[in-house]
Amino acid sequence: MPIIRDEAQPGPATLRNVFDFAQPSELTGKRNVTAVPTQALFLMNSPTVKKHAAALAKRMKQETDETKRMRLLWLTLLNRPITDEERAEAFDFLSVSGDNAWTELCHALLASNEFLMKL
Amino acid sequence: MQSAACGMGSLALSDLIASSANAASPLARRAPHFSARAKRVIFVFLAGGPSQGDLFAPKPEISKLHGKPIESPVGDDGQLRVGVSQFLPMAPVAPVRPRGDSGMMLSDLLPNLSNVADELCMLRAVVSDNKAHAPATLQFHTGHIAEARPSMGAWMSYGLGTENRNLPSYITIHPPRDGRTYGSGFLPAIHQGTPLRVPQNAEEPAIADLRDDGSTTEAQRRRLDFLQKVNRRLLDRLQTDAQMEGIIESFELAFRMQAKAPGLVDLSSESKATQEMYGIGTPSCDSNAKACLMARRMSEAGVRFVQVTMGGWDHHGNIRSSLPASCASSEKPIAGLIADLKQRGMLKDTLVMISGEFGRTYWSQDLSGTNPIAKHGREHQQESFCTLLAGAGVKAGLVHGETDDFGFQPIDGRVHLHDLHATILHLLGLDHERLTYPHHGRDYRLTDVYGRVVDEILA
Repeated sequence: MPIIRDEAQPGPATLRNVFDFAQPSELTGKRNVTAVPTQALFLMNSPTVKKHAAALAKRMKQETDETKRMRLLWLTLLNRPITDEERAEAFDFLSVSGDNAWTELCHALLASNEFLMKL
Repeated sequence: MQSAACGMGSLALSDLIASSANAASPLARRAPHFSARAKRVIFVFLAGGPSQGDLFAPKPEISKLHGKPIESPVGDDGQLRVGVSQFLPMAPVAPVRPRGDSGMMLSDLLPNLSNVADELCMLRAVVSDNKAHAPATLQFHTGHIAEARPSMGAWMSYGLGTENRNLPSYITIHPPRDGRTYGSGFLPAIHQGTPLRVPQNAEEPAIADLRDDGSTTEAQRRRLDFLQKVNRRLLDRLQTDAQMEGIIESFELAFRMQAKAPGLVDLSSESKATQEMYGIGTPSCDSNAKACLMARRMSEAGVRFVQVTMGGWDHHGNIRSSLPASCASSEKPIAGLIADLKQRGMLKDTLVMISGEFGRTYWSQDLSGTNPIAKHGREHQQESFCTLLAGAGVKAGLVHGETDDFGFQPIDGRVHLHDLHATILHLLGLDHERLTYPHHGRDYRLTDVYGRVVDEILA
């Protein structure tokens, strides 16, 4: 059954609007499915995603061993262990990504298909 | 095993459409089937159903019978086709007069459009298949009234690719609410329309998150390279997935857009004269004027299909006061667009199409049942309505098609939506029977199994 809402969406609606959340005033049997550059821009540049990437990196840094931290990040975000190949790539990425390297890594994973699509 | 339920995933793109997309660069420019008259299309969609009897095609018989009850002009099955108990023929709400050298009929409510009448080609007997807004709108955009078929802009993007790899091939400004109207259906997802909106104030951007002042381009590129490596590995594991390929491509496009788009959506670089030509600064039409100017800029930059949607045409009641307001909000921007394309030499290879999803009845509708005719409106009519074309490859000043004395059934020059779609593709150099995509075991087309190119209107 469609859900009928009579109130505007609570809270900031940016994320939901970018990803085709049904408008509260509309009857919608099925959500739109789109893959447009405006969504990629949101995932690349929006303060929302950047804020969450920074928060996630901060949380991960409670684990001081970087190899264990990397494993924890994959478990937390993708719900699976990291592979050897991925670990090597990720450390390569960290080594060239400067002071914010862990935030950058978290940001990339938050924008990945595997995370977005729950695969 | 990998069914993590975390974070934004639950809000995001959950429907995965498996398909056989495989092009390395799906937006790469492709040659048309034959020599093209039009390189690009701008579609001004007048959402709601503009009244052709008031604006483009007056009927003397209707004006003669104004306000007199008549029997239903519809069918002989005794069924009323509109939702009221009587039909009152209703004369146009404002005079409709011959314009320009061609003598094309246009309402006094369209003074600016009348000035460019000789650029227009008017189809007076366009037909579609459904009377309700949602299915009719979907059919106008996709050819089908119910399914999630690819939209016409997506087909054009698929057929011809893009002229500018830094921009989407298909942009829709103030899009209709139903995402299927600018969707890619079973085509690769990168062909769908990218929605834009005209900022309503100085703080609001036309494209959100177009830049990240906190990152250097190099850092952003590095992050994106890592992200895409992760995405491609997943795609390899899953074999093929149109939606995921679309997302991977959309990130690259978004990265390139960051450099190109900010200048394009900034209308302040246009001269005062150009801005006034579109009606920018006039409160009644400012938003549509900016949308039309942005459409021209996008077209100029190489976007294959640009749509501008202008709402407010669903005049069930009190059309006498509401139609003039709808015209005032839109006709100057549209006329400005055509005149501007002309002065820049772009009209010769740009096809402009102006249409609603259907038209309206020549007899009145009164949902209250008690209002005097001066307060009546008009009901939807998909049996016949008017569509305007201008520019590349169509005969300027031509009026094609005619309906009966009640403006109901076509009696000459009938153009079904499938025929219109076939004709637009033809003008772009695409054979609507050859532009196909395999899906569900057969080749699909924009025109499905229908469609005839309307040769009569080709210049």
